[in-house]
Amino acid sequence: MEKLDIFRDYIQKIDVLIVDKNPSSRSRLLKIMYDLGCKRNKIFTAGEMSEAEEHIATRNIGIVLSDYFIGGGSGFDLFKLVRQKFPDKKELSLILVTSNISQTAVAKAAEEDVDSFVIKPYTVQSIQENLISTVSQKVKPSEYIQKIDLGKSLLFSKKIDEALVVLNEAKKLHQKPALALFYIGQAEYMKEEVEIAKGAYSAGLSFNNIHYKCLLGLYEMFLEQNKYSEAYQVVKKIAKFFPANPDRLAQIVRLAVQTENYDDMQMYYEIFTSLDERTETMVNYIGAGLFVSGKHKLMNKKYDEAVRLFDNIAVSCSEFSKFIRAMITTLVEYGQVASAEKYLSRFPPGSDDQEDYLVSEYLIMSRKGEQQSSMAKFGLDLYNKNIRDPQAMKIMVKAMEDCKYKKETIENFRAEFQKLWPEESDFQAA
Amino acid sequence: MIRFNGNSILVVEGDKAYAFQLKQILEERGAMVTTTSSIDESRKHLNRVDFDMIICSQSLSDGSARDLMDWCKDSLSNIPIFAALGNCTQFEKKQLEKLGVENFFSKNDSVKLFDDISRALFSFDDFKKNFLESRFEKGISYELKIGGKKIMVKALEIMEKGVFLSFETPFSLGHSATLSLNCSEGLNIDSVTLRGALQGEFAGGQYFQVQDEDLKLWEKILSQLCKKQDDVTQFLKKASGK
Repeated sequence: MEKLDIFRDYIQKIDVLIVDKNPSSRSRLLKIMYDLGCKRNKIFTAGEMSEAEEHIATRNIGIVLSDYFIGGGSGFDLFKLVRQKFPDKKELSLILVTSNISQTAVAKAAEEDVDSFVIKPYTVQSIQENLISTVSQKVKPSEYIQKIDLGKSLLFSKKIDEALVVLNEAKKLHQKPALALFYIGQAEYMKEEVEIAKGAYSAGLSFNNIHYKCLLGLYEMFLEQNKYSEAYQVVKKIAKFFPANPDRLAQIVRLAVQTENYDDMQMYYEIFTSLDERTETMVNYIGAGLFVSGKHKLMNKKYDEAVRLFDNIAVSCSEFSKFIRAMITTLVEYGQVASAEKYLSRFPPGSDDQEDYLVSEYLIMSRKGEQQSSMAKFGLDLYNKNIRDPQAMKIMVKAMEDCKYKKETIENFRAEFQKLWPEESDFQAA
Repeated sequence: MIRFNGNSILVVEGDKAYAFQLKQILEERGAMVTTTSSIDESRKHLNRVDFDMIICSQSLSDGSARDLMDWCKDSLSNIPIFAALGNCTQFEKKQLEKLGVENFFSKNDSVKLFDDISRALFSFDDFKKNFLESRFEKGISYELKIGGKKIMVKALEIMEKGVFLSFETPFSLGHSATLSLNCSEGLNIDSVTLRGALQGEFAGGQYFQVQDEDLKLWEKILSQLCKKQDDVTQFLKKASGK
């Protein structure tokens, strides 16, 4: 059966959903599907997610054409919904039609296992060929894919040995059987044959060095075995080719810190700024990673590099005031008061009466020649607001001593300091 | 009341994906951006923070840009620069102008949006330059220059000698125009301007035919787009191993 016949046969049985914010774009795609033989009453269009959801709930969707950004979500969110609604429909064809051709968009499409990615603007001929090829491959997959699908379902049913037989047969059907090797790796790992699993993933990567599933399988295996350096080397490669996953980028940042690869942090920040979506967790992780790396640079007297990393925090993570406070505290500690002061204006709206802002302002004030009597008074104001910060308390106690406050009062503060921060022995001895 | 140093922006927009994109681009250039999706939420922020600018969608779940502007006039001592986002009728526009709204941004016209924000808020040239380098859609942007006007358009379908463009205002057939392509990422083209004319209409746009002298350039762009499509397809195939 020819590809076109397979395609035409399939579109008689299913409904097509086209989702794009732009009405002209929707109508052009509708015409293309109609010209390919799809009946008009089987093509449904939507401009946004909520409208699309209604069609998903009520129609027998078999092909989805969606733009990257749609009202109320993304094309990937939409594809997830469709997959959830039709979990057993193997022929389901999910096609992204977008003008967003950034590396992150393409990588995300690869990660999300999108069936095809059509660049807008397209020629009618190219999109038609693409649709026919994509859909026919889904409806009538190659023998290799059929074997892998069978192996996968055996794996899901915990029939591991049977799955391995089928997957090894699949391996012989492809010149570069990375996908078969990935599932062989999964099966061996389920049998706790860690070294064999590692060998299977590595063999998959020797055929295809960017095979996403093999890279991910190897990374997760190293991570579970607490082999952080090995895991980091694999995940760095994943980040390079597939930079779009915010959750994984958070893990990479954590691993980079754990393995002391501070010099890589600027690269991860650049990946972060190119992401089309950022989660709160991701912002938190990148902020923490930038801060730790910046502090490391300061310790090594690389002030310009440290400030560059801190500037990134100020622009992209300032909604978390803890980072601004930490940067200011560290910069003041290293005598970089002018740099510290510029970050005061980066606190988020509504912060001027909050602990992080007040402490930061106090630390900067202490290095700007403020009279000791004022430092003692402002320090006590912070204390009375129930704010406890080791640096601020040290400055306050020193100012109180200079201003000849009662010894007993000062000793009480020292005792509280010792209780709160026992590791700061230098101060207690004073 | 907190006062920042001239670059704080409140974006009030119900479409969270769009608001996020706008926030991301403005923040990458150093602005402090807060986003809200309703008038009620916006009021809470405005009571605490002295924003320099408000970019507000025409219609929101609990009112309109006009309602928010009315509230600002009644309640705030410093009224931020106010920009209305999205399309509005002439009547609505006049009503907003009476209230002091000077800027009207179309969501699809990112260049004008950045131009107006930088002119309204920032004094330094670099900021504007950086803004203009940004694009909502990370790919190619298309700007049509026609009758002295510049409008951002979307390219939908390409033909041998031209391209179907989507935009709102129809122009008369045969109208001479130039189409500028700017690519921010992903294609081996920096900036190209093609001469041509609008030759045919369809729902929501027109067909731009490239003039004969520029057809070689057009062919080059087409071959770049085809190559990119091939590269993307190959990458997906390789990454999935299917």
